[in-house]
Amino acid sequence: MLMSLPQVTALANKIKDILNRKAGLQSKGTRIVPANDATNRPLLGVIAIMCYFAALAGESVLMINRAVDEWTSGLSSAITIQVRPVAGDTALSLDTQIGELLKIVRAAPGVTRVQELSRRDTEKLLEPWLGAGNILDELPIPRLIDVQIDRAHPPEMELLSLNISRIAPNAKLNDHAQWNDRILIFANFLRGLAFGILILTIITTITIVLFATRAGLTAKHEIVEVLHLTGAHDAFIAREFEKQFMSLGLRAGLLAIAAALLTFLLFSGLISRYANAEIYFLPTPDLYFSDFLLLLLIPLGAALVATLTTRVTVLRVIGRTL
Amino acid sequence: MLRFENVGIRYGMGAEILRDVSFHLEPGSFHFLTGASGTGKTSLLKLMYMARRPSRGWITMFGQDLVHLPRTKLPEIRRRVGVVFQDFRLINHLSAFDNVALPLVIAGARRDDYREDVEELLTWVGLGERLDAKPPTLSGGEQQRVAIARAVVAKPDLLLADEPTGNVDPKIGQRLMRLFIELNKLGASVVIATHDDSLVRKIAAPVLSLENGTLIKRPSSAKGA
Ligand SMILES: Nc1ncnc2c1ncn2[C@@H]1O[C@H](COP(=O)(O)OP(=O)(O)OP(=O)(O)O)[C@@H](O)[C@H]1O
Ligand SMILES: [Mg+2]
Repeated sequence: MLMSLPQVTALANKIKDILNRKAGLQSKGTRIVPANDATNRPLLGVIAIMCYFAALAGESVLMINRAVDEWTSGLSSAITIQVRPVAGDTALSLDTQIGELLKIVRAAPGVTRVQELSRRDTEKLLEPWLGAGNILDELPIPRLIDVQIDRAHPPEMELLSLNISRIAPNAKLNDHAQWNDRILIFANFLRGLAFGILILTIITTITIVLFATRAGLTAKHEIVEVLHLTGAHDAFIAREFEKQFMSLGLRAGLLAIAAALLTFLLFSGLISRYANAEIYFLPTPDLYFSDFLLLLLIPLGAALVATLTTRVTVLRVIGRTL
Repeated sequence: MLRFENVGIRYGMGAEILRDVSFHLEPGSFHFLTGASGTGKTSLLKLMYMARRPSRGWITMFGQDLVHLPRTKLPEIRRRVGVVFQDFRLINHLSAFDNVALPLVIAGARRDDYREDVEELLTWVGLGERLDAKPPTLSGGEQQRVAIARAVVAKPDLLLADEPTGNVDPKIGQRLMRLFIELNKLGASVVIATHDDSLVRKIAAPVLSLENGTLIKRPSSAKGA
């Protein structure tokens, strides 16, 4: 999936050939308006860096989406009932309350499965915080009932909540909606941030190409003048410049996605090596085929942005001449 | 075909270097443009190949009002005009062949369609062996011949040549003049700017002479004309 540097260069050269084939010059590979290698090489680097940022931002959005899906799909199909023991409650009366609760919840429409978490389960949940041991005896640990609901036809939460508190005044129904909302706020913030970075890289690329095109026009003004006087339309001249920057954008984009792929291979390698259940909140950084297709948009997008910027700039500048 | 009426030329805010220039060129005509150095021959040609607009007056070419023509219409007219620039203006990184082919490439011709024409033309001007040479590796006279080949390759309706024989020996000079005469026979109007009196005396053609800041049309000064 990853392209080696020679492969990237070969692909770029091929594209160059295709671009040149259209110009009807005798000597193949010659352009009417030559590229300035001395200025274009650093330019290639800077645009490649922009593309790399764009690739990271795009891939981050995909990972955020995937993580949000993983978190919320588990949570939104489950609700929890928490029953806190209060002073005077004996284990026996608590058991009775729980027995009653299980009965009415099970009977409620939209509920698919109801199960009280056993002591062992609860202990396990608390172990990371309180350490192993016979915790339940010393602490007023709430008892938890795990309720799976039918997401398509969820139960009437308010009614359920009312019924529950009638039986056990200290019981609390938690449908995770709040937790869900918080994840979404956070995820949306990150998505917005990534989108903002993407916009900034595009603006930066436009600016870079704009200045490079202006410099190119100044450096090549004699050629431009001859072309004009020989009857070339503005669009013809613009195309000569576009070829340069289109291939520059393509090459920069290809370099960038090669670097981005390396970065993600490194990242997923790190995670699969060091991650365990304790950092379950980290999203799985697998590269999907669809991600790869999305990365391919980056060289295309860079070429498009560079081409359009060059065209607009050239047409504007030479439009002022006779 | 080309008509100037009371045309003035000035650079920037300076005084007019030429004023009240009026003349008319018939299709298929042949003219010399003479005048001392600095009188404005190149400047006058610049108006004809639309590198500048006049400071006043009217110019019509091929039935179009050049002074008020929108710039989008200029390329079509410029393609009908071949120009040999005084300073050649070849494209240095292109071969002699590609330089000559440029007007055809711009007009959208395909390489296979023009290859023979371009080679033949370069052979005619004595550069058949130097098709792939880049202009900086050519002598001044050789560059001038490439420039001439480029000007005539698209068979223009109007040929403007600014000192086209200034850098070559008389023998090649004559050969180049033949090129212009042949083109003229095909129906093109030709204007040749020169201060080479021997050239003007050899060919029977009327002379547009720049004197005292304006243009005077004289009959041919060639012997027997
Ligand atoms: N771009 C310019 N800006 C200002 N003045 C100019 C410019 N080009 C030419 N001139 C002036 O216009 C006058 C005519 O110049 P032009 O080049 O037309 O002369 P010419 O007859 O072609 O001379 P030559 O025979 O030496 O080529 C000169 O005095 C020159 O200094
Ligand atoms: Mg001159």
